[in-house]
Amino acid sequence: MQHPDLIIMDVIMNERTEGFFTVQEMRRTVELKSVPIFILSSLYSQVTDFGIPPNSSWLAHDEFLSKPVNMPELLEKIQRCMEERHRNLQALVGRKAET
Amino acid sequence: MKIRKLPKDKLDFFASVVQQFGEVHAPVEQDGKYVFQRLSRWSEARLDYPRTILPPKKYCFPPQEALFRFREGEGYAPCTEGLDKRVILFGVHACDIYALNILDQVFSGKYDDPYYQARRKNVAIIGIDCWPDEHCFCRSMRADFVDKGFDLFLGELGDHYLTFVGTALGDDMVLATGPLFQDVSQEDIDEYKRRSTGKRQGFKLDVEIRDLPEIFEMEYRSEIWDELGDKCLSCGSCSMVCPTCYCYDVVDDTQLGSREGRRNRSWDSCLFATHALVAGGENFRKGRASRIKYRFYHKQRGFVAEYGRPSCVGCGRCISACPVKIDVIEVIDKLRGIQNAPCR
Repeated sequence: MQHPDLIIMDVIMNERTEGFFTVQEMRRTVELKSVPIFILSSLYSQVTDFGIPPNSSWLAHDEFLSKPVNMPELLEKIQRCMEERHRNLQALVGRKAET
Repeated sequence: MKIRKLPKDKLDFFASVVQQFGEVHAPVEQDGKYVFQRLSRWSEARLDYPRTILPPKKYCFPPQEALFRFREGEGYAPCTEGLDKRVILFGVHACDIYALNILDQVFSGKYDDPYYQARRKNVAIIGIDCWPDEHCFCRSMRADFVDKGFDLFLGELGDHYLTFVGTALGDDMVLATGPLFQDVSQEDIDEYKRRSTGKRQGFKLDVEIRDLPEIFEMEYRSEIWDELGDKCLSCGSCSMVCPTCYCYDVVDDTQLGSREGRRNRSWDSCLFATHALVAGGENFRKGRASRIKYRFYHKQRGFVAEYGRPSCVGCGRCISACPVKIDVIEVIDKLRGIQNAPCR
């Protein structure tokens, strides 16, 4: 399996909740469980009575951006996420070298 | 008990959000039959299923499992893989919940079973209303309604589910999905009661169970047992699909010359010729008649003496699984002397 650095996805696929199941599946897959997931979706504008905010813990994602996406904001979040991931990786390599 | 109302067209959202509490498993259609399995998308779920091939007991008491490993010089180490896996069973019928309540008594009474208990603790139950088919007799067995053993129970209410909250975990699920739920009105309660009455009248099978211990005592030497013995294939299908059968066999898995191995257990059946075979070659139930008789007596007579009710819940699985059409209702009717009961 290829190891992505970041996954960008919608939750509304063939079914309106299919992406929710996909996110949980990835979170239970050892190779993917720590990969950041950005969700870009029109969920809240398409299903106005859904009502459960994305910032609670249930979705197991890292960022939720409503469509239409503000591209500079998305790029900035990706850059910040990648930098943090790089820092964490460096720290891990440093700790392993010490031991 | 807290009661809320969930629109059916939001059930997919509800199932999606409660995944935070565990993997969602539900009945899925396979070649015209139904099995409980993990969902990869909501549309796989078939909540209007008659019955699954295997009951939900497989999540707490799997068909095969390793109990412990042993290795020379290291001793024993319990096998704990999978015991902490959190599963949400979505769409469990009342009879199957009742069956789990019975197994809870068996596996946590006189002899605690830590493997069963560990799994059971991590299985959340979301029950659902069902409609009886030609094999269902759960009403006769007083298992068509449950007031415990579920975290949530979804009662049929037309466009909505009347949602009964059974545990703190169930309450957490409702709180996590709060905006999906609505308050319940008196009209909803009246409608639910009306539908429940309709369901009661929908049963095609009926059997009286109150005097079964007495009937079984009197018919111990009945020729019916020999007739059944001639018919039964001893295939054990009825036991394998039964939601309350709990016999198991324990076998050490090790190679000749090896210094390590595993002790496994797997479902057993009292219909199997080896079930009552003991060391030395003695077999207490050699004949098929004695084995099927034992099965009936344990379900409908012995369990009543031990736990106050038969262990049968009337799910109808044994009737639909038996290759030679042995039907528990017909057997009970025959023992009672009723040849053509009006319910049939």
